[in-house]
Amino acid sequence: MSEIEAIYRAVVEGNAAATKAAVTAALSAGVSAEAVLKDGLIAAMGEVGRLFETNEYFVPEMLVSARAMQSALTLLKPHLTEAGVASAGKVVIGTVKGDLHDIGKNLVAMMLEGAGFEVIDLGTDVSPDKFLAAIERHQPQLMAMSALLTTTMPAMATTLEALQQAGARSRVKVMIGGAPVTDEYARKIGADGYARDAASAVRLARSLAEAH
Amino acid sequence: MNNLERFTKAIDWKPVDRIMTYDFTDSGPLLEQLGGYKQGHSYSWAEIIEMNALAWKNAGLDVTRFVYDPASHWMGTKIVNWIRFFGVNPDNWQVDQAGGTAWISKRPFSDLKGLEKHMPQLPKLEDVREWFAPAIRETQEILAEHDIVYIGAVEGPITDAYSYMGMELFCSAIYEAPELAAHVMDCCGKFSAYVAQTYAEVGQVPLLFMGEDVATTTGPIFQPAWVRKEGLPRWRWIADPIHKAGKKFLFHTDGRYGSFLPIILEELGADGLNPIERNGCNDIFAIRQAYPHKLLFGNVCCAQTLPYGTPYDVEDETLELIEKIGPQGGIFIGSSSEVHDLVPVVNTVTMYRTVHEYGQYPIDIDRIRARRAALRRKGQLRLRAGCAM
Repeated sequence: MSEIEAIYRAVVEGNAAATKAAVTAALSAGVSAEAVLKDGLIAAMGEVGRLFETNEYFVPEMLVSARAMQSALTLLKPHLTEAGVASAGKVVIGTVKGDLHDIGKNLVAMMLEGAGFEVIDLGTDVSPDKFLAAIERHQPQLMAMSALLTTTMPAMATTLEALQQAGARSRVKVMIGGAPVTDEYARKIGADGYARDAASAVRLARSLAEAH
Repeated sequence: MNNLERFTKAIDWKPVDRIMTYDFTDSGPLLEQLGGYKQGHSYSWAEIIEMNALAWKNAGLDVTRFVYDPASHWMGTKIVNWIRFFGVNPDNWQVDQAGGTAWISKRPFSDLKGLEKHMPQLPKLEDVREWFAPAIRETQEILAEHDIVYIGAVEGPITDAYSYMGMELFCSAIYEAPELAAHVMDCCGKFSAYVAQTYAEVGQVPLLFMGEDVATTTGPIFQPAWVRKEGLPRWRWIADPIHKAGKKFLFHTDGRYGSFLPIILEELGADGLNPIERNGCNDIFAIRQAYPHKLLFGNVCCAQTLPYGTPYDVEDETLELIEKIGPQGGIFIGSSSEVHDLVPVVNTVTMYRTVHEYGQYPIDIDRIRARRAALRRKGQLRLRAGCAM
């Protein structure tokens, strides 16, 4: 089994210790940081997303794989910076104002990281002003909003209005998701896309980043 | 016939005079406008129950499982129970409340090593019974004076365990420390089993509800095989004393039942389901067809129709339930999950009053169809919540 295959397998199996060991071994063997990232970690998280969408993996399996990937990214980041490897794009993500739920948002954030995006996680109960400030500061291509509750979903529209009024709307593509959110709702409030789960969020983010 | 007598017969599939209304309400506007609750005032628990009962009575609600206190979210009560019955560290817990919901934002532990130092202890039946029996009696007695039926409610062992540990830590523990996850689920399962036993001993109401959120709108949170292995045996701890006492057992998960239905309704032998979310999640009509002898509680959509529809939309969706399921019985009509703050009071009242007006047995199908056709002819319907299996 090659070094890359070992990384891939460890991530898919959700084994953080084995992933770190495999990444360390790969770098020591002279495998480039970019190959470790793209052929190992990102490819493995792509497979995790596929398994999630085909109902072979569920939230726990996705979480442990994402954690394994994150533990490896910590090791890998200095090497990526040194090699000048660019991210797939920059995403600001948060759960909207009035909503304290973070599991779905965290899963999306981890899967986006696993797909090579740089993720700025604003946490939960994020006000429109805080989203705006993050856009000004980080200049992301994408902004992702999550809401679990019917009662907090309208805050997505409020946030988009705030972006519009501040003249920031055209600078970012906006994707939304969460239990009560639908594709129809995304169109209604003028978001650029809706993702039903963390795996499809990655596909959407890729297509929006390309269109940006 | 009072509502308790009516409900007892209805859940046993015996003839009754009308379809009953059932719901979980956590709506500030409903409590204020129809119950007289005033923000900023402090109330005793008995007063809170009275105001909820008044709101429900004025709205037309017959059966419920939850007394809403805007000043105290039930998530905080969970922690109080863990401290009281599991002997866990009372320090360093924090609950944040916003948007009508609450979330445990701080725990005394953040990883598996920390959890090991904060493992709960198995609760004792005597302690649980001593604490809960008077509260169950008091609530049911006050609500009975208002002819409101109050069913018992407990939390499922998986849901309570991931609430205690936090979802991410719980998911890690499933793989990295399954014995820790199992012990927390044991403590939570035993606690709920003892509350269930107390309901069976002192409760006047012949039905217990168990809330076990194992699904989202898109499907299962956990592997169904894992739920069957870890959840099912512990659910039996809770359902068995209820069934032994001749009472019924109602299963709850948010989201899509899908592949869990055979586990819940066939293997566990749950007598019914609530909620039955719409919004692309479940098709209540298909569930009735597949399981014709199970009780259904719901399901006017609380994500679309109730908050954003007109009273006519609400009336039509309610009438469809009466028309298509009402004649067979075993249906208790209310929201698809909850009546929350965004639901206009007029829509809530329309839903329950439609049941009272059109849900009299024998159901007058022709009258219902004529009314639904009239709503369409007049172009008064603008929103329709989706169903899916």
